[in-house]
Amino acid sequence: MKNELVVDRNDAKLSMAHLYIAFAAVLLGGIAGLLQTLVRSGTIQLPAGIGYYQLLTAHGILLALVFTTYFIIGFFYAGMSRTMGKFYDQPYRLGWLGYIVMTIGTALTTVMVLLNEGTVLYTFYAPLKASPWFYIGLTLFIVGTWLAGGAMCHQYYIWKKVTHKKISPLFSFMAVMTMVLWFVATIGVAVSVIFQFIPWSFGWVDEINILLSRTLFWYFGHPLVYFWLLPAYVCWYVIIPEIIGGKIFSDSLARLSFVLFLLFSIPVGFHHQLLESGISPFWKYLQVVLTFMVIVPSLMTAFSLFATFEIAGRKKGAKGLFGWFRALPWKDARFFAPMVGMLIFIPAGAGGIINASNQMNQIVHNTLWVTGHFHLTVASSVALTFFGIAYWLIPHLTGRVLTGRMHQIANLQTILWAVGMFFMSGAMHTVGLLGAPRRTAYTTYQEHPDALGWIPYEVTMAVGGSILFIAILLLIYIITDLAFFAPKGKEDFPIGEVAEAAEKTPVILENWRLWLGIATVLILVAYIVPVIHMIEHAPPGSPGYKFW
Amino acid sequence: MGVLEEKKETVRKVVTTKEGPNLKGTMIAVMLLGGFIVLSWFSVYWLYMVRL
Ligand code: HEM
Ligand SMILES: [Cu+2]
Repeated sequence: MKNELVVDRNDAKLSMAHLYIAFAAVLLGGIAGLLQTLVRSGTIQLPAGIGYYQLLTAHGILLALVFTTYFIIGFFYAGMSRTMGKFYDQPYRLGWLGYIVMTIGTALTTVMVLLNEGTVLYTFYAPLKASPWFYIGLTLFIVGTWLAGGAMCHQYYIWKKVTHKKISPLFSFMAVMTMVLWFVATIGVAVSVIFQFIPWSFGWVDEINILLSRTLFWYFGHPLVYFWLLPAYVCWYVIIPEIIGGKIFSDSLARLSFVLFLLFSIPVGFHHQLLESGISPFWKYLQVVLTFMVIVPSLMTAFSLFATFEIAGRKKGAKGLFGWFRALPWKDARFFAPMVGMLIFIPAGAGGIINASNQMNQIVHNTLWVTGHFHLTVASSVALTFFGIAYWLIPHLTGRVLTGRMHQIANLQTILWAVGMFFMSGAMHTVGLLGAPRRTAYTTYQEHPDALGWIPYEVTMAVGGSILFIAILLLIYIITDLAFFAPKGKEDFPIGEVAEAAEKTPVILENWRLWLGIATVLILVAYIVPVIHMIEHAPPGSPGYKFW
Repeated sequence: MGVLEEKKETVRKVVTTKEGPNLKGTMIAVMLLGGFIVLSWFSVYWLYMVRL
């Protein structure tokens, strides 16, 4: 029986080490998030000299970087171990080394934020200048993730050599693809931090090329969102089919969509800089076109998921056009949380297409609409999927079980999250369209009537934020129980099988040279000319500023 | 991929299309999804036009 397969004990420890930090970050970041909504609505004032932007920096870093990255890496180690077998010695040791380096970096950056020496928000835009140690912490964090990615690639490489197989297990392929995407993406931010921010923050150079630093940041920043999303897709493509008693619709289609994400998620960073002067409209246009290419693999994913659901439902005897939808295992927390995440991805994705459209970007740019948008994408679709994974992964790794009662509590968690997010993100979207800016503490702009009109929405956000915070407490209760107290036993690590009717997977989908080659060409086409222009005709450099 | 393998695949394809699964619901769901995207897009586009 394939479901007898268990992740190796040592690999489980490595994976769990990541998951502990991930969920600790959720708790701390959630506290910050709640306080933000309370401050913005004028409900409270922060005590003890804590600054609003300090809190917001912590929230962004803890949730968007620490929670996501640690969870992703922990999940991948476990899944690769499950599908390829125990990690070989060398990659295993590399994995721990990566964990240590990442954690030193995380600690250093966190300390700098706590000391109020790094209040530059998680995007650390110049000319805001943090302590050099803030940037060094970030660098170590990134280097740690490279070691982790290296461990996975090495494992994959040895596995292929030992087994002589041309096609790797779908889970492992997707994990390696995600880490490859991460390697290519992080080069941009690493170059910027090492060659621009660190020398500038130490005072070795006086000025920084802001335009270039932002461009390098967004070269990384957009694929960053795919780095969050692809692991959720791994769950949707590979794990959900097994949980609902169905089959993976097509192995080739799943791999192809990941290949397309590698190709089209990087040469598109300018869609975050549509309002940036200093980049010619032609290059913005080109990158927006490439951005819209991502719609292709996204709709492929939607189609393939619906098909998996429909086929599984019809096999169970569901009738009518949509009977299969009701036949899904809604009471199963392993399904319910990711499924709600998938449903939320529908408005989230639609919002993304709006953001990337040049004209509409002028309506939503830097408003709370954007914040509402990514609380649907990363903070709901991705987060709920990760929670849903944790519900079986943690007991699987700790030798416990997800009991029927825990299924119910977890489903309550999901419902609270969805309701809280409906209020918070809904209000953010609406008030954003009315012009309310993001990243802004409480203010009425000298009693300006427009700004006063935003207050009720800010209050709605605070109501949603409070519900979300209760959901976070419930989540932490569930996670703690599953890690330390749940009854001992065996929880499955579900891995789907490919439908019999599906085509055989063509080997070309696993041709790394080819895909990396095309990705490089696309990146060069999209970036080389504008970046050279930014360096040759550099805008006046800027000194650093500390406004906090 | 060898010629033999390719042949085998074409044979398999013929077999599966004959008894292809019923995906009517999927078709409609994906269409509704596309419709929703277009609708949201145009509503914000409309906002842009009236504010221009
Ligand atoms: C208790 C749940 C949460 C609440 C109440 C909350 C609340 C907020 C609020 C009010 C803001 C905007 C503040 C502003 O722009 O002035 C914000 C920003 C943000 N949130 Fe959350 N959030 C929550 C969960 C999450 C999660 C789970 C994630 C990611 C996985 C996340 C990621 C972010 C990011 C990246 C920002 C942007 C920070 C910035 O602009 O620098 N949040 N959050
Ligand atoms: Cu983007």
